Amino acid sequence: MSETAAAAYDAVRYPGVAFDQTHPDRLAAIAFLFGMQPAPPSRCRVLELGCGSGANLVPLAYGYPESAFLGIDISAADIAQGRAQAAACGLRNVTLELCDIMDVDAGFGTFDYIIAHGVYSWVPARVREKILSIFRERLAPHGVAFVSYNAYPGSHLRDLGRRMMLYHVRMLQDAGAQVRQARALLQFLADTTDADGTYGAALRGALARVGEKSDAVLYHDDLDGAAKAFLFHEVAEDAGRAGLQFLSEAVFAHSSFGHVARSGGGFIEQIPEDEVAVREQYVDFFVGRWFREALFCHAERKLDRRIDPQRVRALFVSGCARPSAPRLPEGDRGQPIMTAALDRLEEIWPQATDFSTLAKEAVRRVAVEGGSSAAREQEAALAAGVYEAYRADMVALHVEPPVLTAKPGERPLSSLLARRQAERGPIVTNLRHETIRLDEVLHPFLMLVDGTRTVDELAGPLAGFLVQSGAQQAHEPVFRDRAEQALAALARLALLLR
Amino acid sequence: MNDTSDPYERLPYAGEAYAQTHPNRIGTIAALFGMRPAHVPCCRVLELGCGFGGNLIPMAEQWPSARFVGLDLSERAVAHGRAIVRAVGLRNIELRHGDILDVRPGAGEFDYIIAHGVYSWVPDPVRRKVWAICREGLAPHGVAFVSFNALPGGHRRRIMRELMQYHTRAISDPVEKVRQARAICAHLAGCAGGGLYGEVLREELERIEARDAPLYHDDLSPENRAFLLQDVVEAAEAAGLQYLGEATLAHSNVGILPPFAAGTLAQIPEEAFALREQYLDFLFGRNFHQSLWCRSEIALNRSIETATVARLHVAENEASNVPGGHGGPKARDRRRTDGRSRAPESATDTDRLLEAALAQVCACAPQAVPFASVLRGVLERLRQSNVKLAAPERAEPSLAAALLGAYRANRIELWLDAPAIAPCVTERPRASRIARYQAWAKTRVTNLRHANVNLDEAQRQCLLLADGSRDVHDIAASLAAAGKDRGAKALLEELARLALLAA
Repeated sequence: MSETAAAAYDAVRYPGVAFDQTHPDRLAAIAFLFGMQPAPPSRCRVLELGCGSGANLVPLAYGYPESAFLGIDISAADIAQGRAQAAACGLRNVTLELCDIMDVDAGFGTFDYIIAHGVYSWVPARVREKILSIFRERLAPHGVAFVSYNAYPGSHLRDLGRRMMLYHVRMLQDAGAQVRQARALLQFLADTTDADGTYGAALRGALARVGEKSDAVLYHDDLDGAAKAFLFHEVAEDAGRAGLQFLSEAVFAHSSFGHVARSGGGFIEQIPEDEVAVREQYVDFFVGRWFREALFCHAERKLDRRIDPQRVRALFVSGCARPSAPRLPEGDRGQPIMTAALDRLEEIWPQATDFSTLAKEAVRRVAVEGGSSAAREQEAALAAGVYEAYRADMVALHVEPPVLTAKPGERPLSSLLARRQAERGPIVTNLRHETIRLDEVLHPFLMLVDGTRTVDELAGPLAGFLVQSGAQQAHEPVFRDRAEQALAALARLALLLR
Repeated sequence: MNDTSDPYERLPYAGEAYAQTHPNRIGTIAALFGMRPAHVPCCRVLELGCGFGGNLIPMAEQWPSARFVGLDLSERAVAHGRAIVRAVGLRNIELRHGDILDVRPGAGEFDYIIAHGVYSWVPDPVRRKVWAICREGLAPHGVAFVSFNALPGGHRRRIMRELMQYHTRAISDPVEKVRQARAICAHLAGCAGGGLYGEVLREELERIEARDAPLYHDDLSPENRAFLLQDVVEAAEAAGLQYLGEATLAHSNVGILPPFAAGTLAQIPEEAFALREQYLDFLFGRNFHQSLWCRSEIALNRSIETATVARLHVAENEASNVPGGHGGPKARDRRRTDGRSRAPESATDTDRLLEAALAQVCACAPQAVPFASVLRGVLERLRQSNVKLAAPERAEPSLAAALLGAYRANRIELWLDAPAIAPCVTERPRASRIARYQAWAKTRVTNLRHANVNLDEAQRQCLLLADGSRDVHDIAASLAAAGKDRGAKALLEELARLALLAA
């Protein structure tokens, strides 16, 4: 990679966060549904290309001490920061190397999971080709590769604003000035363009979009003139030439196997099932996709494209409490057994449960009559229902349950990694590999939940944080139940280990 | 040549007249910016990608002393065009079959060069060749018209374009390709939700639901690129040409912008005319340019002198909408600049003159009348309605300024020359031969303002009879024999209003 590319990343630090879509457990669950034998997350090897400061790998390494994680990046500053973070957490199973993607060779060995997030659209053609060949060469036989990229057709609407910003700042050298001027142009255009046309609406959408972005993200995502977007079939064809085949989107629901296929009004379902790439391409047209998180595996893997919903019986299930999580239409919640199971998942959130335990509990709740054959029928219906809910992104499937607790003990313990992250700011990675911003009370409180203090001992400092935030008066007494509430909040945020 | 190598056979490009490419109109822009464009009646015109000559043939009949050369890659299109030229009996037009790459114009051979619907649809070497031909072939004060698909608007067009191309990738028959492309777009737009993406899809669907041929030769064409205006300007400058402006001045009208935006654009210096135009593209989201070019060494005067207007002809603008599709100024915005909405007590001389001028031009329609004649008519109207001007001695420049404003707002047209259009039914009404040929072929007909007109069956029958040899009674008798119930006189008046009868 060129020196200018490296320099660009040193000048404006890319804020690294964990991407739960890249979690080996998520990739393994999808691979399992298609009949592969993926490596368990607790004993696997992971390579991340363009790992930045390890914000994605370090939490994984913390969560899976028996697995090995290797990340490479061309930013020396990022690598140094990531190494310091790993050392602070005492991690020995993550290696971050200053290394160009072009230099990955057989000496790296093979990996069960290879992640390339936010790289493919931002590198020249020869590097894209190299990424695909790394997938092919360095992936274990049942390995899964994750690659994200800007996608068409949705990116055409983003290109509108991007192209104009790029033109507007073409003469400016300074990154800060470029960002300021780019924002100013979009503001000007959004204020001036037709109030009721779609063009104006597109620009106002672009303005809102870049308004949410930090300067660093805007600079790297929108002001990189070389950034490219692709139609799905182009990437799938390139991957095919490299000896790879498309598995699924990392968010299963977003693939043609998920509920998103319904957006075609029956069109997608008419395409033969074995023409997955064609189905996927049309899904993108129907939903106007602008970003893809695609999974690939070896071309010779025989995949069972007609997924048997009963396969979920071998997996763990958890709810999906993300605010953006879609809800199943009432009709799809289906039978009472499914309602009972979803209720149960809400109760045990953020924990996962194995399917048979979930089924037993759900069967008990709906008080199935008619003995064990009726119960077996109900379990089969539940498996189908859980698969359906997974297709709608309402539940998560796991090959291994995340290690965390919903019930804080007498000496509660939070994620060491999150506590180390909290030393630098309120943004932390939870034990489900999600990125979370803590409020001004939970942020300092989390740092005290280190397994050495009892709930009563935590109540005092918490009262202080509450007073500081204005949520409590200084003269009010200290109550244990406030500490219990705060701990319950941390538990729901998937931050507690015991 | 078989079907696949010449799809013109299966799906002829409509290739009608393009009013905006007429020397009368592009010459006006050149004159306003200080050039000395060639006199239209004896000018020399080259059209690259002329199809069957649908654009050139009506011009050639209208200006018998002018000379026209058209070039097209489709042998069938050229053969079709030559047959029309023979049928119409024209001697001042030559249609050639050939490749743009092989064109070797004589130095300064042409006053006007037209390349409409070419630039975005050809490979890079041909694009460069277009500029080389313009540089070599244009007379010192010659003007080139080059249209191309533009960014940023072109980004959104690619959504449907790529869908259509992907969907029809295995279909070779042009007609079937178009049918399937249309069907998938309609299905997609029908499925889309209420968000921005859905709104854009529905708008794009409206665009492609137009006619067959543009879809095949435009969106489904394997070569179809959109450019930033600035990139095109740089390519033209490298060939020794400069950007003159848009073929429709109203498309560059800063006046329709909110004042703060107009003020911001006004900060761009006048020399950087193309730069200002680029930001207008951004504001309007343009997806198409119809741009004019001239040789680099011409010194252009960007501050238009009103005296120039006094040398032009004034015509009503019959098209209420702005040609060139979305992105341009909207009709409802025009009121902001034309002064019409002001209260009478605050009316200025410009307002009074403009109001009378618009009435005068309307009364003369469909003719284009010399400025001096408009001035006389306006003064007479003001006298009759007892309106006094504050500065009667400045009536002429004030009227010129008022007309220039109306032209910028697309409310009137300004032409270099006045075609011989009959203002009313003459004793032996005569339509052009090309219009009668078109009526015979049952296609749309080109009127004497170089616009395309749809005729109903009675009008068509009547037009066929209006060959200059019959008077109204003869035509009425023939029409009656054909069992037409509308009177010949009424039909002829309709044709006259449609600018189909020659003076």
